Amino acid sequence: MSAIFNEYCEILTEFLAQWGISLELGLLIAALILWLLLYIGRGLAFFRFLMRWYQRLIILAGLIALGFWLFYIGREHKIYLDNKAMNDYKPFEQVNVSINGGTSAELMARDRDLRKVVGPEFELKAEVLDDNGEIVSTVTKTINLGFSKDIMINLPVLVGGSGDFIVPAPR
Amino acid sequence: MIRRLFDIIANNAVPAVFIIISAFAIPLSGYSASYLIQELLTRIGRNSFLILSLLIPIMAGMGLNFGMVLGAMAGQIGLLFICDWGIVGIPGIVLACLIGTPIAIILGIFCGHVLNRAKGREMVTSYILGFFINGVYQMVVLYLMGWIIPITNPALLLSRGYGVRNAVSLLGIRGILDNLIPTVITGTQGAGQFFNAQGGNPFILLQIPLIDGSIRIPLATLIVIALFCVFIIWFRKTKLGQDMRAIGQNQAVSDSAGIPVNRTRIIAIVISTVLACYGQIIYLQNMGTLNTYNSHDQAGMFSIAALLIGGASVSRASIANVFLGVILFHLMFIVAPVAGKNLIGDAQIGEYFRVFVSYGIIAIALVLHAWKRNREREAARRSLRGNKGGE
Amino acid sequence: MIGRFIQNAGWPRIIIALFLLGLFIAAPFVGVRVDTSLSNTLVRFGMNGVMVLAMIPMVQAGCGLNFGLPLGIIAGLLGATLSIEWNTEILAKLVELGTVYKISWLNEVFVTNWRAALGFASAIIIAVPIAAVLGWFYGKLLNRVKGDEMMIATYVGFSSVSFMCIAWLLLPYKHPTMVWGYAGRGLRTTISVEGYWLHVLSDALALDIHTENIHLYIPTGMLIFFAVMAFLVWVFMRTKTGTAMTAVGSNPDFARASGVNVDRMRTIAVVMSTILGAVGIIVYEQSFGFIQLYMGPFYMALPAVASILLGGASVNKAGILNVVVGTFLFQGILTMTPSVINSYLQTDMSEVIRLIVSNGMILYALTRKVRAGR
Repeated sequence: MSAIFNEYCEILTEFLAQWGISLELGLLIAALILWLLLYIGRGLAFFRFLMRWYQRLIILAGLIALGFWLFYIGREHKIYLDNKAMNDYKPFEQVNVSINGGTSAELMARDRDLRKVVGPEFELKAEVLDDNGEIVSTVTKTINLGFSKDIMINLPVLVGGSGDFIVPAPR
Repeated sequence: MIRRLFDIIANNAVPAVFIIISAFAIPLSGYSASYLIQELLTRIGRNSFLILSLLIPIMAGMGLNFGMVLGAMAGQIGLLFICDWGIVGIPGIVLACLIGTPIAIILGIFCGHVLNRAKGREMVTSYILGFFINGVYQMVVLYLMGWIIPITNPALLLSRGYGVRNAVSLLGIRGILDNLIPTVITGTQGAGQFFNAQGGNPFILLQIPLIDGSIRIPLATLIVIALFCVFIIWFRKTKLGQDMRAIGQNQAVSDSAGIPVNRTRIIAIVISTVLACYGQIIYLQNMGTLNTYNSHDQAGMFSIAALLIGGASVSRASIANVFLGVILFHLMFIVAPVAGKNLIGDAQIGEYFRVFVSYGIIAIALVLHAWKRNREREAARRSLRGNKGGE
Repeated sequence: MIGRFIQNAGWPRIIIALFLLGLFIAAPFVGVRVDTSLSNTLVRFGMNGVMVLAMIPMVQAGCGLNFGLPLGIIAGLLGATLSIEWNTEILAKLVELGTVYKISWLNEVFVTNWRAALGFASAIIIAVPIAAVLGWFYGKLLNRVKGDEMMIATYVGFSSVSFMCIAWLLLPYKHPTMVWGYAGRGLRTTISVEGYWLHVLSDALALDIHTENIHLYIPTGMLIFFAVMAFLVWVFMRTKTGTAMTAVGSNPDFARASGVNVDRMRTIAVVMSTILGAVGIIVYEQSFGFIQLYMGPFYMALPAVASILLGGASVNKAGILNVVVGTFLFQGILTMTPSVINSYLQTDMSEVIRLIVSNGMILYALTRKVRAGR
């Protein structure tokens, strides 16, 4: 279900993105359209029996939207942090990563660690250390996961500045 | 006069007996007061909502709704989905309710129709219906989930690739509602220890010198339960609530007064089923693990036993009965095994005693109700004959 | 003609009968032997038949379906366990009687192959009075709660089973094969009857053909025992008391008007039902090989209730034919679904199918319109 659901959401988001509308706004507009339909229906006595169905539909749409929203904000994501070589980027001696200002994970070369975040967006702060334990560089990045579930972040790529640092999570 | 005395005894005998049993068993168990209060508060938070869901069908004269397990199953299906998707925290609980609601409504409508076909024996029918839907539930969860219904999380599925495991961890929503507003009562000495052990600061901290140790209060859950009580009080005063009470009094009269009897009865069952669904979700967020094939089984029996121990009958139950029942029943729940062990040296006996009391109390309550009703019917018949003779 | 037949038999029954037929037809194709399945079905039929028979008196007397069957089962369990506990004493007593009254053949008989039969008989002889006493109280109780019998029966059954859970632990049983070894007291959860009266009925006159092509086993003794019990019930229902009982069930007011003591008839029916339940469980155990205590009898009423309903009985009318047909259909499905569906789907769906079929059947019976006059 979740795979189909994700795909559906992505398609919907992309579809709406053509006009620069976010998913939430799109759902709001859909609800508004339904509400307008209700007003059209009210004028026609013949469709009076349908009116209740409109009302119900609106409530239903609202509840489904609420469901989507809850799914969006309440989802727990596993974030795998990977300090391994990828695409010519070499692993660091040590890199300390903290997510949303939490306790930092210390990753030596070729280490992998796991952190969990709740909600679609998180802030990642990576501090690269040299042999003497001095901080060489610090990178802060805000990452939006959207409707996807688990991801893996390749830290050398992230710090190196290349865009495709997100790798599919291992099963 | 004697009849009134009989009625008073019949109405209050059960709670009184339980208070006496508890009074003996508590000292035998050797538990401290703060431990007992803590356990009781947890259990009130855990179980009250489930028990409250029984009130509305009783109001509509449909007896004890053994079909509440249907709602519990709907809630569990909601929880299984959020576990699969990995939704945690309050959004997870709300989403589980949202998924459970339509399932509960459909099951409730089905249950209502079935019970309308079996008027006069609603209880036994809803009881068997619970078993029947349990079979369907097992088929769905054990064979269809992971096959037709997409469940992908390998932590949920059996190793064969479909069917849900017997024990599902609800770590993501465990205690979320209970600890939403962290509230603690401590004695003067316990406070420091509490902070050391727990780390975080409680939102509300009360200090009462008499208590040793600390007591955590599931405040948010209690607030939800209180809101629900307000809902029931309000609901009794609405047109629908009045209709239900009228049907509970006399179906034929209500029908001639223009109340749609069957429809109202179905609504009563639907409300009860949906509320039982939420109740089960609250119950399981406290427990933290879902026993896929057993959790709902006992929900109905224990809730009904608790309500009856609180002094309710098949035809009359109030909010006060619910809370008195929860306290007395769970006091026995906590105390009986240990008391049994201290008294006879076998904890198993206390365990069996507890089960025996749960079933026995339901049996006694049902017998008293039927007995009383038959006596009233007999009396009515006799007075009718007497009047005829006098004319 | 066909329409009438369908109406008489009822849709669920026909669907289930066709389902069972389909299973038997499908069996050879998935590599399940029809003859073995048929033998198993017959064995299970014999095991459960008497317990299903226990439904008849109460249904006929208008007390509804006996969900309180566990009460009778408990009497049976007491009889069974006591017969093992006192096995040696009983045999010794009889041998002593034999010597005192100079009945020389008694000695030989008791020490040889009749021991088992004697143990079995003693179990029944002990169980029946207990069942009668329990049933009498149970009947008195049900007389006070007319109209709500089924629900109350269910909970009487449950509470008696859970009460006996305590009793099994505390009763002073001593026999080493029955009590927990380490504690020296408290009965075990399952007790083997091997060496006492295992298969005493099943193997009596049993037809056991075990050649290359045919594996057939017919527990003739057990089936004869069932037939005798069924015949006794049939005869009883046609005596004066039996007809009065039926009259009470079909129209209590009319029965009262014609001078029948309604409460007395109902009590007799309940006592009979409880006794049959007690005998039924002993028959079940001798074939099954184990006495199941504690929560074992908890849900045993449901299959029996479902069987008789499957056989075409309603909440207030039941006959011997219903018992025979219903037990055969129900046990047939229980035997066939695991073997056939397992070998086809590679999963065990039998438990789920049992739950749905048995409870669906009870639900169907409960929701049918009751005829007026009750």
